[in-house]
Amino acid sequence: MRVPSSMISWLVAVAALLALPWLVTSDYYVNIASQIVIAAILALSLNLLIGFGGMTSLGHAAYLGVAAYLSIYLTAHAGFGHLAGALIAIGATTVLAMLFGFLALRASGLGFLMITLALGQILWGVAYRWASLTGGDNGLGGLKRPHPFGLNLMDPAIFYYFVLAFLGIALWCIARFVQSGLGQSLQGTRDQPRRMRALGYEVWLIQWLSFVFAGFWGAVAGLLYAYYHQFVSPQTLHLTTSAEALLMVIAGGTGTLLGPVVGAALVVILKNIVSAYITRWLILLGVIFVAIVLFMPEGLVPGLTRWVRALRNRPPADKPADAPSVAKGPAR
Amino acid sequence: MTTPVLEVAGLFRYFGGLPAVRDVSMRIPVGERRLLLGPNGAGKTTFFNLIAGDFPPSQGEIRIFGQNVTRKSASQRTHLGMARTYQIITLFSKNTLLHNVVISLVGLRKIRFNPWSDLRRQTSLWEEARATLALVGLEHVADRTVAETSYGERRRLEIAMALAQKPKLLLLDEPLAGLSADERQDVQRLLQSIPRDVTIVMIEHDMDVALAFADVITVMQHGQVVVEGSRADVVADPRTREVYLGH
Amino acid sequence: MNFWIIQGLNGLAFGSLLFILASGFSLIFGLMRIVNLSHGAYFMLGAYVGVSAIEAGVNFWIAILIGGGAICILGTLIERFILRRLNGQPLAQVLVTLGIAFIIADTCVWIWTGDPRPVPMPRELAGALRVSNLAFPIYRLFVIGVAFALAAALWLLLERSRLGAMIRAGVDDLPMARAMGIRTSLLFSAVFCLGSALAGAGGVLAGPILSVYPGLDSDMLPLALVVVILGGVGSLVGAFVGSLLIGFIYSYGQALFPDLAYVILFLPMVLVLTLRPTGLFGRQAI
Repeated sequence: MRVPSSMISWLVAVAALLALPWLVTSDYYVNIASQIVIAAILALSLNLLIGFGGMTSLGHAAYLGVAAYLSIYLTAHAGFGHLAGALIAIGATTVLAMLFGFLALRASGLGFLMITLALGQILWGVAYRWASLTGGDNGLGGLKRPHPFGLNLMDPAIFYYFVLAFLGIALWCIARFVQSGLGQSLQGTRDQPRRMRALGYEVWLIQWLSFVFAGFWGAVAGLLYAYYHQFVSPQTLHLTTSAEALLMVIAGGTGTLLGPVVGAALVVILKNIVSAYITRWLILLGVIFVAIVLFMPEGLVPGLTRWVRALRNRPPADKPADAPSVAKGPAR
Repeated sequence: MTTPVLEVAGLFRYFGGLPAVRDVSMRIPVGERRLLLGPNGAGKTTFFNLIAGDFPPSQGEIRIFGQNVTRKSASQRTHLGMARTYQIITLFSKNTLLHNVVISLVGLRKIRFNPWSDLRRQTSLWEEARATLALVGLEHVADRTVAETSYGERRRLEIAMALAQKPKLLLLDEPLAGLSADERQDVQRLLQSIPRDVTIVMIEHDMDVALAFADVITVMQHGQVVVEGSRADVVADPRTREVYLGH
Repeated sequence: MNFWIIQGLNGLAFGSLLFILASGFSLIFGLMRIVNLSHGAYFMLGAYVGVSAIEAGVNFWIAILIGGGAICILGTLIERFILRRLNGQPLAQVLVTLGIAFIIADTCVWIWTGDPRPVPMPRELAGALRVSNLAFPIYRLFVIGVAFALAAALWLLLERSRLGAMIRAGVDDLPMARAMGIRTSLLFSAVFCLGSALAGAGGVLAGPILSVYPGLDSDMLPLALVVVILGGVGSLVGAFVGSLLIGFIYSYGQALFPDLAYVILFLPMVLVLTLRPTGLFGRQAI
């Protein structure tokens, strides 16, 4: 009984995603959907580290921002073609992830978090101060969306399908990764690093490879981000962007495949709604962080489910979430 | 004379300023069953951790199968053919027993770096894991999660995970700790069934079981080796009574 | 030559401010294993409180006390009512401090608007000290003096006092310290309160040099992190040397390669993490 019903809900979800541009007629909503999809790719990649690797990074905006800066700089300012610019941007950002992974994995737990944060903020400082290259506070623009296979990406609906295709590929690759030898090894190192070493696993290498893999998908999100906004500013690299990505991951529930997608939708929608009425998004972001940690350490979606169940006074139907909550996860 | 499986020379390890292991030397030939005895805090587990490569010694040398591994990582040592169990059980508690053994098998295989192939579809791995669990008498609970098993079953799973790697050198840290009399007999029988070409070093407090099992016994106290020799020698030695039996 | 001396002094002054911030951050991290991501925000909020006090006609020196005191109270409340509830969950504590940092940062923009606020120098320390043809701003010399005095005081506190002995025991081995009967919860409150007060007072003290602006927190926090990564966890000497090192690198970097001043910050981090991941003076990896 279970399998068909989950199959049906999958099909419904996919059909709804595909039909979305017809369901919501306004370009404004289609664009928000595109934002969600791009944010979801970023959150998925961060969840590889947090949920499956137990490595809480506060510098994931680095890959989003660097790939965005590079692709805009290369195509709009250095005369590269779209394809070359995109490939170089993603390639170079992945190389950056190799370096950052090497540095951050010199430590674990809180040290890892501090190093990722410091590296990310240094990049933000670079983007902010190296104005001759990055445009400083004014940011970098002038990018025109490409026309791959003759598709007009300026059309919001077509752009939405374009990024949705990338989300599909990302989900597929990450789903495979999670069940693969490397992905399973990563989850083992999250739970029992010492044991894994004794079993013959090179824990450092497994974490580093996963870090680079996550960096790659962060770069993909960055490229799409650049196409969407056709503009990038230091804000993209700022700690708040990393924190938003982190919030998407913990809001949706860490260590699940689709949680980050739900989290991305929640955060993007909330941010758009709130920004329409007040300018104090950052305060709300802070309050949400404090509230989640204090009241729902296992994540917003699992936490709400728990609350609803508690209200109905029913015991939980399934086993506790498979992944450790961010808040209670291994720290050292 | 053949190369000893494990050779330790002048091993020291300090924590802060305190020596946990002091000038321990040992040669263990192929197939030997060696027992480490000693009161709590004698440095036995620290000694194990040094051999396994959890941390480097402050001084001294460790050779496994004739290779100097003093500066080699724990995983490199495992790949040479060493496996261990832990006194404090550290299993993957949310996974099934079968999955635990598969994790153990994958540790020695290239697939641990493969980001694409679905581990669930590696039927040969899962079959091998099931066979290993059958070996330790756990096939009937193979599909339960660790959290759903008894303490005795977890102890046996610990051993199964080590045996799955087909080690030539097996380090057992108190494999009988906390088991009931029946369970002890099961595990004892299991240990006796391990082929003789596997060298075993074991820490154990249960004198009856341990003495029946061991070829050579090393008694440690305060991080040092006090007595070493055959069962009869060590039992007869007055120093053994002094440190271990406490009178 | 003059350039090197003047920039060296600027670096020393900036490093001094950094030390006032980072010493508290490092102590809190070393003892409580809390990465207090609000620390930059404490610094900025302290500065804003100080500015408002000065604008209300309060004397600069009292303003420092007000800034430090306000943040001390805030920090103590946060420690007592939020962080302590999350005892033993270091990651949760970090996320809470991150959230609080955002709340403080945005509240500052709300109250004090987005425009930078210059902070007037105390009259008695305006002007410059002239040595041959060099002019050293007296206020900067004063800040350097304060940092050195603070370093000496903290050193005495840690090495010579009973409280310091307890803190050191806690940094080295917390369970052991607890087993020895040290009341760690009181110790935690004391250290967090001290660190917060230093951050707040440091913010006011930094005002005349850095001025106060939105984003001051994001500028200072990563530098404090880098200092701890360089110097080593919970090491006072490490925080001191690390702060001065970053101060010099930042100051010379900004004068020589203004575009790249931030890139240069990578280098010591890369070197230390590669060659000595415990930090220069740390005993344990972070």
